[in-house]
Amino acid sequence: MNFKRIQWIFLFAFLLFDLIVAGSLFLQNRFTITSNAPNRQEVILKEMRADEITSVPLSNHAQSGYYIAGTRSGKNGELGQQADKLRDQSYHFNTDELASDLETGVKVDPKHPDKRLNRLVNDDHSIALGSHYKYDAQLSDRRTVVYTQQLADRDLKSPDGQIRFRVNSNHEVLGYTQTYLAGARILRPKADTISQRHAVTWLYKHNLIPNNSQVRWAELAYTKLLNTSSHNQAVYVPTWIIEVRTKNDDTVQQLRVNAFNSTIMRSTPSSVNTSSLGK
Amino acid sequence: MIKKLKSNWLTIALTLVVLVSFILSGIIWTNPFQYERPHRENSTSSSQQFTTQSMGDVYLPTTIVRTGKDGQQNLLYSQRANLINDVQRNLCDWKLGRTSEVKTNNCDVYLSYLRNRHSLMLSYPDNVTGEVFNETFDQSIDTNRVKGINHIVIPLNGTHEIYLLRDYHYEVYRVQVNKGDFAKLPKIGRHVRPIPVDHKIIKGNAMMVYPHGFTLPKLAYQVSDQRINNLSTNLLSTNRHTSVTSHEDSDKTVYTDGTNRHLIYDHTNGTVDYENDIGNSNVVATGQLYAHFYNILVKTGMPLDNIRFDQAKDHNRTFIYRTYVEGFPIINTDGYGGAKLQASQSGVERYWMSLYTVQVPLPLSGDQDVKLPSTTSVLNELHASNQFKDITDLRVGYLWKGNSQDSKVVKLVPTYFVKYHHRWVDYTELLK
Repeated sequence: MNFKRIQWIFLFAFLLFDLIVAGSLFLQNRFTITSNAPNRQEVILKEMRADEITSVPLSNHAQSGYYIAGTRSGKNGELGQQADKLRDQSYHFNTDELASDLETGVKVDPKHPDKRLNRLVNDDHSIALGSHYKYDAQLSDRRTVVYTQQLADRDLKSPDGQIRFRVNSNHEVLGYTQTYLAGARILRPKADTISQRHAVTWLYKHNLIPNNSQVRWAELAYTKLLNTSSHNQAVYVPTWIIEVRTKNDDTVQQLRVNAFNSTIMRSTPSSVNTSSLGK
Repeated sequence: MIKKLKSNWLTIALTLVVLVSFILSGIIWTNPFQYERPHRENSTSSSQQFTTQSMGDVYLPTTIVRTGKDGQQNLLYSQRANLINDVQRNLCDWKLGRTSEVKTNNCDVYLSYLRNRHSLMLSYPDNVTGEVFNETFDQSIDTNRVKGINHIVIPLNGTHEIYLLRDYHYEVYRVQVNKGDFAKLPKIGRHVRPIPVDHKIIKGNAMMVYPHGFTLPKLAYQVSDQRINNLSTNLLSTNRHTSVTSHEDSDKTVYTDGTNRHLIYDHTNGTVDYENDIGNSNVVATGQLYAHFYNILVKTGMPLDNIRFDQAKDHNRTFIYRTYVEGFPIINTDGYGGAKLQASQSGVERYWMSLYTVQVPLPLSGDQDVKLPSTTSVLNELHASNQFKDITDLRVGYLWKGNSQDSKVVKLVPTYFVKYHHRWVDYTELLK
């Protein structure tokens, strides 16, 4: 009788042991993941929500890009040469910007101006070097349609590579201005950039996103990092451009973060004197 | 029978649960312990920069060599693609299996593995531990067996195994590949230029040599400088509320925080010498130094994008880190663009570093290619100049010449460096 009771006790003890051990074994993976999960960025995203900052969904994937050098091409450069082919328009150069008036206006759909303009841009006789540009909805508005130049499969968001079409109140394009970045050269092998989420949380941490505001979009594009003194060459870097709208006073600002080292970029690029390199 | 079972059911159930408990205990014993990996992201609050470089990125191999079916070896060089990163990303998806020792202490066999036909080889500048390999490539090879790694040889002939080579004692290990995509590994292509190389064992060291002359471009960079105030606060500040004081001493400023730590900043060349007596009891074990020094580098706030582990010396207690450009190290007499970290067995840690480093490349106009001679002709020239006996090693790198106080830009020139009295010297200096 006594022996049976001991057996009962042992049975329960071992059963309990088995259940606990088996449970911890099967749940182990989940435990390790959850212990890593609430990382700094998650915490910051939560804080942002508490400060009533809304945002588009932010990706946590690292992207990649290059340091790229290039020169604005003017009348005597590639843009000037290709402009010789242009027809049915009168153009002239203001330093290195091409300004042109079309002989006949082009009617565009105000919602999708690119439908008609893509045809124009891809025609060598209408737009010089047009195949290097892509429609940019974010920079366009009712009166101007902007096409940005492509650099290593990304937009070049800089006044150095843009076509800006003027649209009148009858939704007609009558003329445009164009700049072109020539001789784009990759300076350093491909490198990883910070993620979209990273860029936004970084700005928030540095108090650049005010409370009660909305992150409308965050896009990775090339912008100018610095000017050099040799042959007007400039260096471009992948940049997270983030548009923030403050809900109270409805102001919109664009913030820029260097996507390689996450420094906050100034609106005017710095200049370096490279004359000593020529020696 | 059934009656017997019925009367003894309690005993049987008890035996069953005991057996199950044995099995579960067995699983726990054999299951590898789950370590928490060092975090991929580290922020340094005071320097306004954010490093995304993990420990694995600092301890990456730096050269990648492809050996053809005919045995011809080529260094894969690219100014555009980041081949090492591509391979790293690919290898992280692999599943490596059992490790076994192939051969040790035989230099001919070792050389044959270095020259393995139809293979891809990644080489580290110096020996790293198995733990570092596991961290970099997200693997879990047996680190009790593999003590160190200098080269990773990936055969391309369809055998599902890779070899890990260690120069010390010419050790060769075979690792089974249970899952791996060999097709994605980099080839000579449009943006990848092959530079013919060969491997030799010279004075007992495995060395990569260049049998023919070749060209490398000069490079230009903007010099970035860290502010000394940032660096000194990063290194001296702790959780304890100690105040950092400084005093000038001719060309030098000495920063102390009242404890056993001080930092000497030299104004003339922008170098920093830091010393911290942490005491005997806190000495970091040699195997842990790879992680310890990585954390120090993060703490300093220096940009780590191109910083690579370059050398371990003084019985693996001193590590040298350098900036690498396109697979070659930048060498400067004042240690610009790098750091030397030392942790002595007696509990004194010393770091030598500089405020200057390079980050942003600049365009150079005109023809900037430099023709470098073959390794043999360099060695012959050195032979003729009677300096040969003091030379212990040789490599190709970029020379960062001069002082950065006056210039915000630097031109890096490729050249051969020889190890002369324990220092890397531009070989043309010795020929003068």
